[in-house]
Amino acid sequence: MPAKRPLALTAFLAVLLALVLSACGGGGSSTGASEESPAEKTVTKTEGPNGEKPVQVSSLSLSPEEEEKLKEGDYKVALVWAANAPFTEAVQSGVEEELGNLGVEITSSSHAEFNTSKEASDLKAALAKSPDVVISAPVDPSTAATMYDEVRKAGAELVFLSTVPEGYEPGKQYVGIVTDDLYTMGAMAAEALAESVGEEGEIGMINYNIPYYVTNQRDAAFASTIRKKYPKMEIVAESGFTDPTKVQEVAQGMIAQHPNLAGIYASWAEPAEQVLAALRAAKNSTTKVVTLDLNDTVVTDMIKEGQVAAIVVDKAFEIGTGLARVAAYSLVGKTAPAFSVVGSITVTPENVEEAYEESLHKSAPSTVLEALG
Amino acid sequence: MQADPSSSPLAGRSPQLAAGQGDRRPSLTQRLRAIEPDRYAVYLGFVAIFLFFSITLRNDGFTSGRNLLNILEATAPITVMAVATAFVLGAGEVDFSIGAIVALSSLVAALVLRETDAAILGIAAGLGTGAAVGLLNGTMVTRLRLPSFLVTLGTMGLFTGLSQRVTNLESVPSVNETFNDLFGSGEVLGVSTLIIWSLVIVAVGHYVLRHRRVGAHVLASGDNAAAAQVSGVRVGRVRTGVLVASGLSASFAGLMYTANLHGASYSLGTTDLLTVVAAVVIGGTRLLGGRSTVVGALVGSLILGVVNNGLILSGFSTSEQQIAQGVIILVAVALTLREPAR
Amino acid sequence: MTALRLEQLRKDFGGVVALAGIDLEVERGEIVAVVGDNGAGKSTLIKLISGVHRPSGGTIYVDGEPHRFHDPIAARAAGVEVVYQDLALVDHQPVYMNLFLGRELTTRFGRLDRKRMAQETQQLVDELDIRIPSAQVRISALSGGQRQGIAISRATHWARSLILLDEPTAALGVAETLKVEEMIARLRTRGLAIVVVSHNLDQVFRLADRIVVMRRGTHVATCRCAEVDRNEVVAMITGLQGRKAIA
Repeated sequence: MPAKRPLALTAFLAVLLALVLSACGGGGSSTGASEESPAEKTVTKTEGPNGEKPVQVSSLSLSPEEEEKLKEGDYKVALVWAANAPFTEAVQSGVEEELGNLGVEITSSSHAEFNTSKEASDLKAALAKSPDVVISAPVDPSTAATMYDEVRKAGAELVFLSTVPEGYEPGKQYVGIVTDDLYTMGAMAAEALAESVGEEGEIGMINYNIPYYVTNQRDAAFASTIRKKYPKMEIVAESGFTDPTKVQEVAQGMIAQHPNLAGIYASWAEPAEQVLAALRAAKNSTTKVVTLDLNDTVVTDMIKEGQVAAIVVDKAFEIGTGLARVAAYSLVGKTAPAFSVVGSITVTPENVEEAYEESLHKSAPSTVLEALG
Repeated sequence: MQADPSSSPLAGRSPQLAAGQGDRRPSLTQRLRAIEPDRYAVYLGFVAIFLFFSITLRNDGFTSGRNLLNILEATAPITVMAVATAFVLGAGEVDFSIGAIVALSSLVAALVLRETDAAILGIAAGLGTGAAVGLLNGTMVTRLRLPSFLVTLGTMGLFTGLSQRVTNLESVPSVNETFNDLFGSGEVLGVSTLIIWSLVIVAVGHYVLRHRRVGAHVLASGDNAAAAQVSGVRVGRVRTGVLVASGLSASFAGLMYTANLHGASYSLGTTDLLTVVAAVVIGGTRLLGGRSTVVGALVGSLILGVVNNGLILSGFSTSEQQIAQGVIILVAVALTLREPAR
Repeated sequence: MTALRLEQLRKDFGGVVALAGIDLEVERGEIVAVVGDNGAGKSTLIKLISGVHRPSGGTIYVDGEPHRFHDPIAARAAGVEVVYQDLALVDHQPVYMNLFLGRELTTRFGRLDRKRMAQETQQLVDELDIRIPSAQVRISALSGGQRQGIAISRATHWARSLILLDEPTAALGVAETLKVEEMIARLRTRGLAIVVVSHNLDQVFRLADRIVVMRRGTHVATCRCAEVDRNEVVAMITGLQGRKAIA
């Protein structure tokens, strides 16, 4: 009978659903993952993907003889980026300035628009001009090794921004990585938040739940610093997300269950926007937010509404300088450090304009300037 | 008007003219069967899921006023797009580009707001973008006679890429208070404008679908386009019309997102297509066309919102949430996708 | 005034003559059947009269007015209604919405007047003695014969001059076929001209006043049913006999 089947089916599926839900064993106040979350790890310092010790970019330098060699050498470098973003633009500016000073030619640059196959063809196009070094950021490190092997076969050296193809080792397949100082960034975020809440109170963390060593390290650094340095502060809630555009509800859940949070940490600025919206919806103007990476919307909110304690940003331009220097090392036959990092800036309303200059070598956008008044 | 018995060799009444058949007013059982109780499974489902979470999460804040409002606010943009999608599917078409339109419209609106600081211009620019893409989709479907799934797959790719280039992945802040209040952060009598907009659009959509000629023509076009065409329905205009409506709804959702977050970004709306279609289908709209329900789309959207909210409050990890959500959606779709027997 | 008059109506597709010039007159209240084998030109003739195709030559007069229909809507506007072979019904809509498809009634404010449409439909269905549970049921709930009845009712409701029926009982069983034939026969009394395309000669002889025989795009003959017998018609269809007197 048509009317009976849906009823039986509903009942069966409802039972199945209840079993699935109870099997998942969730519930209760813990909003954590069953695997070890980034916040539960203890980190004390920045490490490279293979555990390398970081070297400050500012300590990289070339002797006058080495610089001569470069100027006469007629060397060529190609840039192959994963995507075009203000961050990448700033990095590229840094590379251009440094290589320009060293007399090394940049033969081509490209953006793969987050598309692995485009990046593969971009690499091939770059090789057509026979560069000596390729500076690149792989779109998808887990599958990138094959296409970068092509680059090595063509005789070019590899220098990487932030991430490295899986299986690659420094000194063997690539020269070195340059990236932001991940541990320091997380620690600076913790310090900025602590200062804004008077070093005491309950803290919530909203973390990126996908294995990605950049955010994982920063998140872990934040948590470790809170635990070590601020005994009167406690991380009482931690929620994960995988879709950065669907964080508002996660934040709302956390706020509802912990109405007295002194501060919330968000893995980076895009989900931080959502956290701010959640706080607005809950009419909460007291909980402070701290996050990382420059984002005009969050900066504007920080200036106008004052709910963002600080944003920690890396010195993107300096990363570019570092990439250029590591490339230069390999061109003159000098052993480059496997893992180089740059400094970070804690951005507050007081130093916004300088932060844009130092990090991106650009002036702040009009909305931000208007907000500053 | 009795037929002249001598003119037709078939004169004489057929045996079916018994007492029962002669009675013209349909009996109660006939009318009850005509309602097709299968279709109301979604409403029962919603009540069941809501009750389930209300009980299991009674100490976790599920039933608090704030949380219920959160659910309504979070589902509002999806609901807005679901209303239009009910029309699109009803006409036998599909629009894969709505996610891209959300992103592009939000950026356009925010950029215009930045340059002019005039809310009305930003709104017009945002909605205009959605309408324009919808018109492009519709024109390609009707003039070039391409199936809408192909056309909108193409425009989805095109405008996703465009959204990424427009500001080089930079997000654009939205500081115009009129705009922000009107479409997201503001309230009327304590109820967020997000909720009000979504309910208004549901009401309008339902009225048009059920009580206006154009609604009947949409459903006829999706059910049997040839029959509609020969009966005088301008099927081409219907198809273009629903795609323009779809584009408009996506840009409207973009305005809502932007006003709520105080900023526009290329990543807004990217994951919404599946949610919107799931909501509409769970609500009882037929994927192949000819039968749509706007109220059902609202309930479908609410079901998805309640499930998402409940799973977050339950404390499941993101992977557990995704598994549970997948199971629940499968169940809901299986229940409501069945064509009523006969 | 004759409801329909065709004067040397012809249709070519490229180099192929689908319909050579045909002359025909159909009066109100009479049923004319069009017969012929596959490729005889029957459906082309129907499509020309219903406005689906435009004539390559000749004229169509409806109630004395000459017409060149550029689409089916124009033919409808001239008072010609068609019952298509696939019925052109919308499955998920109720009977009354189908009846008014494309011509829905609205209230003063433009709102669909479902009540009035349902009432008029019920009235019509009663008048034409079509047995369906109600005007509110969906088409999908009706049998083949009932659907055919609805399609004919629709044409009857709107037609002012002529109804064309294309193979109205082709998909029906014996009992339903007879019922539909009854219905068609009763249409005479409504003052409409009726043209039926059929390949069922028994049906033709039961229903029609006159028969138009087509063969390979040519009009072979028009005869009164009373004056001709089955075998002669078969012979004309298959071409074993030459032209007979036009009646």
